[in-house]
Amino acid sequence: MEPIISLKNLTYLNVFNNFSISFPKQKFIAISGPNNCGKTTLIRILSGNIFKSNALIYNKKYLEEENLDDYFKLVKEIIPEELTFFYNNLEEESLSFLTKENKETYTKLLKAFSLSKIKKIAFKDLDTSTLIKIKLLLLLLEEPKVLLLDDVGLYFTKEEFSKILKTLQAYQKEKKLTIIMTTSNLEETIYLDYLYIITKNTIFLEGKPLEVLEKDNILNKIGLPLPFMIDLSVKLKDYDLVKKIELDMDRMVDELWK
Amino acid sequence: MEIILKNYSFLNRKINLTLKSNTIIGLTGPNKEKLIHLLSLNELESGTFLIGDNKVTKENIKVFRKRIGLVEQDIKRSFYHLTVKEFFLTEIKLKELTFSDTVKKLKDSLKIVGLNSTFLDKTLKELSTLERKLVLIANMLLANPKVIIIEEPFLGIDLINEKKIMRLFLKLQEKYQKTLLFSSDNTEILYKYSKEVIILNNDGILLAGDTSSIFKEVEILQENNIKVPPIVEFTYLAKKNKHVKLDYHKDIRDIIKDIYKHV
Repeated sequence: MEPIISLKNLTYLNVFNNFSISFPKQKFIAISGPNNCGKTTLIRILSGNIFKSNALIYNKKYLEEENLDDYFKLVKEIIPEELTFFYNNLEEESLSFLTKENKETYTKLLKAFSLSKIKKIAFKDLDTSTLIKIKLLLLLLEEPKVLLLDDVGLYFTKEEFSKILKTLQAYQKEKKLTIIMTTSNLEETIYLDYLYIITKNTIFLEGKPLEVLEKDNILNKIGLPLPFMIDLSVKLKDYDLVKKIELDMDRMVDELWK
Repeated sequence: MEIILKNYSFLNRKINLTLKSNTIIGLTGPNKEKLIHLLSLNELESGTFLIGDNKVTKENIKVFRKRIGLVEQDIKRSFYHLTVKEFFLTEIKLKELTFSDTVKKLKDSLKIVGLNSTFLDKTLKELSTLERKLVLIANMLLANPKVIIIEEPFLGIDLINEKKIMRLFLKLQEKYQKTLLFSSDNTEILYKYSKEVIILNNDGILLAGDTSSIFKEVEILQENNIKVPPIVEFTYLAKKNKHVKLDYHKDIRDIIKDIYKHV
């Protein structure tokens, strides 16, 4: 698969040393790993906010410092610790670039993110989860080529984030966007296209999420907890009690006691 | 130290609640932030609030507030520009704490959570999710509270660090006789670590008591939209759908062995 962004032989502080990774075009990719493995630093580097010459390749070309402004238009990021807004409220910020075409998307996303009720509230009065949703809405309207998300799931309930992920997946497919999302929760990766597990300076595992998550012993060793149904399935497979990963609990019970 | 609420106002009702000393207690359900606000003594409601043998009153509330420590889910964004040292000093000022050697106290507090003194000069914005959680715990420890409330204790924390932090919590509970209240939407964590649990619903307290017994009330929990720990839910479904009587386990390896015996 053709990559949209690659890092080649990246060396940065004591986090990365000759580190290389590629992200395929128009896919929803997750990156997970234990605490302090460099997930947020990776997002900052991919976003261009930390610039290293001769390290980042975008669409087959090395990113140069003089091209950063163009790059910032194509690649957008949400790092919750760095969320800032210069406007007062959602209407004021969003309407400035709303066109006829994206007005429909705006209305659709407002509804999907349950934001319609708060659009006139001042940003400074909102909690982080609402701010993330607003930022996400505004970034999607700009139709970037790549969207980078840094463990945003931490700020939502499981149910709320699952709804957001579904909306994002649909949008990503429709607009042919590439989404790269770091997460500390492997459950969020199950339905995505590709999963990287990184530890300090190394790609530890990679592949389709369910295939990666089957490697329970390795993941446990580096401290990543598996979602219960995957953990159960993998262990029951080891005992030859089931044939495949089963994510639905009722179906698993039926399978075991036919 | 024990906390007892008698006929205490919560969500327009009167509740009775005991947080036993030297125990890890879980808290989940809607309105848990409101209960934490109340337990943190931000304000006094009608009814009786006892800490140990002492009744909390308007006159002594400031003294008792120091005995209750809160570790929030994350550091508030408005503090991000501060250094760790400035963040600690804000807490010291707010709680009117005094130390003979403040800098030593700050370094000691960081050391307890496994961070070295170079962290004092880092800004909160620079820290990772794990480091922010550890700084919040160190910040809480400055006042040496008797009761410690921890919001989402392990959210965003990997298993290796979860074990390390849990060792610290157990030391606080066992060696220093602290009462710990874990507040979380993740009932798997509460099922795994708490001895007692308080489940809230929209009207107040739905269930409270021994953790293992409370989480077996699957139907009541589901009717009230409380997520049942999956390991419990699986055992419940095996019994309900297939009349298979598995024991209730906390460790996945134990339930696997049990399933193996029953298929």
